[in-house]
Amino acid sequence: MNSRIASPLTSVIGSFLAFAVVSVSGHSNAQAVTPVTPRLDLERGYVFAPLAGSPATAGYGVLTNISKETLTIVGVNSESFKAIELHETKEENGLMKMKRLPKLTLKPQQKFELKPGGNHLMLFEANPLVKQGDRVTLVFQIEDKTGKPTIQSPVDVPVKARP
Amino acid sequence: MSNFGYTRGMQTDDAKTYSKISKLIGVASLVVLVGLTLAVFLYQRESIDGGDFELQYRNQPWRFSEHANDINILYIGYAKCPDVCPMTLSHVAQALKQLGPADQQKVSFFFLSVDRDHDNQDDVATYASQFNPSFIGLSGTREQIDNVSRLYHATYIIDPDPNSRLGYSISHADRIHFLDRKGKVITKIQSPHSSDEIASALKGLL
Repeated sequence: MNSRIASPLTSVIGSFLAFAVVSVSGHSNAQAVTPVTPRLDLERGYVFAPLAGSPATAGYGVLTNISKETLTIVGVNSESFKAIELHETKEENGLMKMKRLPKLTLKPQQKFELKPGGNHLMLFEANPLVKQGDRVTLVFQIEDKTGKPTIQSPVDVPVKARP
Repeated sequence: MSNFGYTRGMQTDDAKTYSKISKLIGVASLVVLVGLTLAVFLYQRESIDGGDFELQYRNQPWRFSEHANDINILYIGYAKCPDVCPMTLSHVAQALKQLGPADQQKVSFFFLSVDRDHDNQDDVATYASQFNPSFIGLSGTREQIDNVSRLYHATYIIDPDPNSRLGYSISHADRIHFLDRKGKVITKIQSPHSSDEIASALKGLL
């Protein structure tokens, strides 16, 4: 970040401001939250626009751990949906069986594909304003070293119409 | 006497043996008969692959034979299914677009929700029609649903999933049934499928 800043003076001011922002956020929130740094990427990510008659829709993409540490995802949320769950779909004895994955651990650079007919994000009860062509932010919750879901990693994805 | 007695004895033993053999043959025949009857019954039950059936459309009685088209596609799932069902409905909708307008008229699509406890019938109908305005979303009583499930060997299992907001999920086959006017299965497409595969199946049947 600092290497992009032109002069040493700007660098000093930048560092001071960054420190001030962290300090303020630390004070304003009793439960310290690690500053938001993207740790996950959702390559070619999208969610399908919700349809009338069903409270559920799905999101897809290739989830990649772009951090240098092993991450355990324990939840996903968004202001645009009441709840989001990570699901796996597996075929068992000719039946498609869907189950919630409470946790997903990814090593650095490890990918996890979410695609129709397989693993997916199940999104519940969209905000009625969410429509095709919008972009929504999905925030992945990641466990910290003490096992608390304090690390957040947001991704922005488009809302697509079902083909 | 002794000779007579001996002969009589022999005759008695022979008669007993004969009687035993007869009984054995009788029992064996009965076992074979019961087995054959059972086999025929099971074979017939297994070979039942479709037929006419009754369901409900927007809370009104609905009978397949009254709505049957040249080709009828039946898919069994539920409206709250986020992944597999809408993907399949999209595939069928896209496949229909590959047909000319005249051929499209000869194909009907029926989506049966087995989730009668949670899927409102109007919701099922509205849900299906968004993939293609001609798509018909159906449901029915549990008995009607289970009858269709039996007719097409389409097992479904309602699994409680307390970890999920929905509280359950329904395991079901991802299978597209192509039916004739009598509701008999002409062909089926199993998962994984594509719109191209469905379109070429339709072109072959039309």
